[in-house]
Amino acid sequence: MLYLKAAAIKTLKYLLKDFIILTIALLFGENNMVDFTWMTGGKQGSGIDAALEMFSKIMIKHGYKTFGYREYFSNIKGMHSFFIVRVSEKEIRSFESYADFAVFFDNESVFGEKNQHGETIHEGHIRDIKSNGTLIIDKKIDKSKINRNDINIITIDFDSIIKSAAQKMNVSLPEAEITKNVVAVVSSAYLLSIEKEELIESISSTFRNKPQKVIDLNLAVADLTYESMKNEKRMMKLDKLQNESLYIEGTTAAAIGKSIAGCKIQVYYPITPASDESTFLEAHPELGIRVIQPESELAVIGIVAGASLAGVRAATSTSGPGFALMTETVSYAGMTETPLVIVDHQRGAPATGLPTRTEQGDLLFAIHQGHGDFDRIVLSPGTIEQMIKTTADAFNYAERYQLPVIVLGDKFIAQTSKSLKKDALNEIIDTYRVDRGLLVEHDPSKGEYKRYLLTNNGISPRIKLGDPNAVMYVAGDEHDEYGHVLEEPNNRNKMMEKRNKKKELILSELKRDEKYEIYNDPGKADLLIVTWGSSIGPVIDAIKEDEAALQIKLIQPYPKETIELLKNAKKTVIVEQNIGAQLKQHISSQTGFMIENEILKYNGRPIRCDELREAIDRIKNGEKKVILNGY
Amino acid sequence: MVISLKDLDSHELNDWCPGCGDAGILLAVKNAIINSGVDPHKTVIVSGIGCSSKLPHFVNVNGIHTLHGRPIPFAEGVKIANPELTVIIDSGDGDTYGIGVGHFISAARRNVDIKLFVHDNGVYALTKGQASPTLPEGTKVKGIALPNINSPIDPLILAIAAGYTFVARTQSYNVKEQTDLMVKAIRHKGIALIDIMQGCPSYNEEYTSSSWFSQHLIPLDSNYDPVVHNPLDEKEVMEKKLQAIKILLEEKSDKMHTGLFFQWENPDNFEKRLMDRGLESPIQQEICNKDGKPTVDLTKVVQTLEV
Repeated sequence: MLYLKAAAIKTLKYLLKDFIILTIALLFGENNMVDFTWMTGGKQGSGIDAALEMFSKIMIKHGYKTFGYREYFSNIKGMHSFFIVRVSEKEIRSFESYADFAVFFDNESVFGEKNQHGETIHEGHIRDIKSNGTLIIDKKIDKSKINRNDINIITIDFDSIIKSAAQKMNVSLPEAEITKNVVAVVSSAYLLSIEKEELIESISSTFRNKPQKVIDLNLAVADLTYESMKNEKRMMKLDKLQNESLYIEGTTAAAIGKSIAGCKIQVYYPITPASDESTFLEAHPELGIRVIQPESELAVIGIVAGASLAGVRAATSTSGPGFALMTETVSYAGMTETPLVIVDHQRGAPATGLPTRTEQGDLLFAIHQGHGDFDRIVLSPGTIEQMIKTTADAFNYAERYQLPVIVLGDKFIAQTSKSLKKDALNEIIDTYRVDRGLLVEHDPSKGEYKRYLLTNNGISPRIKLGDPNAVMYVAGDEHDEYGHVLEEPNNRNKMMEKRNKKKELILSELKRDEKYEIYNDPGKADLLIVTWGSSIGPVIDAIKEDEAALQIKLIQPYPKETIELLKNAKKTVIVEQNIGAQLKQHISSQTGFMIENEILKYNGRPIRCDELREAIDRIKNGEKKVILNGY
Repeated sequence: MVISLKDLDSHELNDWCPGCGDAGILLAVKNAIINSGVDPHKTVIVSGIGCSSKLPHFVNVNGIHTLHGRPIPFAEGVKIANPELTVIIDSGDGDTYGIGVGHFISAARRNVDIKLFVHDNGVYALTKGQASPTLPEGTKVKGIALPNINSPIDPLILAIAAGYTFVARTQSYNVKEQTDLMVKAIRHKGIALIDIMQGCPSYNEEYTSSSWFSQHLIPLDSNYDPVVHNPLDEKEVMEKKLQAIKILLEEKSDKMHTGLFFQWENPDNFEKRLMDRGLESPIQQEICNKDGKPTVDLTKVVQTLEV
């Protein structure tokens, strides 16, 4: 009986009724489906960040789908971070505001924290537990201060478990402190009735690349934690399912997309939240990708451009501040028609902004980045699966259309971790085809090579530096067909028109699902939700049958045919994680259509499924603008 | 393959001022390409912005005319992507020691096999003669209203300290000395700097004329040995660096040396470091088969994602 303890003050009659309803509603969702949210947190550097991966992997191994997210400060040690994992039988793309159960072992996580000026740094997670949910805490935390009579509280003696394990394994206590994450995970898994043997196997697998001593210590802690829980009632019996999945993060998805595409040079300068993508590639030399970390983003993008001119697929990965520094070379690539692939994992801006938080604030910048007029492609994947495919596609587009391609991700996708079916990954790999466009070896019978040969569609045959039959000239100055500097007005017109007519070609060649996605039937919907990037996850999870969604994946050039959907919609609302409704502005400038309602979020935290649901209802009830503030 | 100067003419005519030192540098670059025996198709000249950086257009080899200050990263990208190419940079002192100085220092940390031929005339000539990073403090040239208020940097000392493995100085009107040094630089394996004191008759005639050079520049002593003979001998490397830096520190701006100051064929170049990681030449790697199917093997990556 799950809620016996928490409800001790209530009547037995009330308790029994409560238990039955809540077990069904909370843990099995609307259709008896398993769908619950788990949360943990603690001081950064305490090892708690590994808990997310450990818990997710246990759930994935048990056959469930997971969606995990981490929220942390720009700090190495000491500040508060927290982790949410949503577990479900069905595919999930978002998380909710309230946890069914949570586990914490420090006071700050539970009660929150203020700084020396008395300003709130964060408010603690007592409020995050669902009514009738469960909270596991360390014995040291003062339970009487937890002002919630409607939750079940379980206390565990973290210190004694760690101490016993340290003694048993002959490890110093400070060294063993880091295994508190194992206590957190194992106690949680116990409540879900996961067998000890299965947990041991899962934890061994998580730590498989660590030294045996580390594995043994973690397993000892797991064992002791499990035993200490023996008197606790299980929350539920989570059946084991057959569901072979991988565990993947967003930055890894981008790295895999680049690998599939045949990227051979990745250049980066350290920046949150993008660096993980490059360090992942560097850790896999078998991919044959030269990962270079030069002195600045100015150097980064120059090296990418140089490699591209040599005929090698090259790319970078960055976030807003670094992306801004690349601007002059993006303009250069536009002028010189040099393929570039840049993944911008957006974060809170302007300036340094919120380095570890999410935002979709770079859309208009990405579209306009660089002085002068030139065509570029801006793409935006919304899920981890789309991130793999879109990043791979970016290389084909960059070479086919000979221009810079910007992939706009954000911290929400970059640092989401989720289960991914092996088949889904294999399908992306199996269906991808490298298309290098008009990359040729020069045929000397055609005369002297002209890099900027004027053609009907604006695309000129491109050679690699070192072509045995030709030399190539490239100039950021206005140039003639050979690539030599020429300021003559008629030539200027022809070259400007050549570079600025690619957008029509792109729009005519890309397929519908490369440009946008539609969810539900807009023709039958009372409301059409328009969105882009990571906001689509919560939108898909939140919408009902009488609502439809339009996800724009090709941001620039903008697929103008979507205006028909917009015009025919009964009501439209934009959902974005920025203050300026940037996609709305863009759509208006491209089509003349003004989306009438807005749901926006710019506090640096991702959109949560439940807060979005509520906001959609408010829009349907006539509100014009809803600002979300879920943390 | 024997080529002549004529083979290296492009169909572009240079638009430099009469008497500009860049013409001497252009001739030396062509001579060096011929004398070093490199394949013109496999040679790339990368430039920045300014008078100097127009040079690639006048040579019948590959030419990449980049952005102000950025030729070094572009050149590194080209060379890392295709190590078979000979990569030369022709850019100015403002490009290399001013706006691009971060790249100038940092490139040496990688010892990428690229050759910097820096046209050093003390001024930003194309923007009408403002002071560049090498113009001595207190010097008044035509394009500035008052004498230069900034003190100059010494690119050669900087280069040696940063880790350049080939450091030389010459001047634009001495085509023979330039050619010899350029051939040596091209044959050298590693990052090379030739600071070429360049005549600018329009904006710095007083300090960069042919006659000023002949009065104030002297070749390094014939007994001076710049070469590290045992590249693995750390002591010899240090001695040869100190010897060069001593001469450079002691020389005055009106009495400077030309010639090769320091050469060390450090085997630890960037290509070797990448190959040691098992990372093959990117241009040599097939990324897909004939129907475009990717060739990458993700087995190990997928293993790391398994739960």
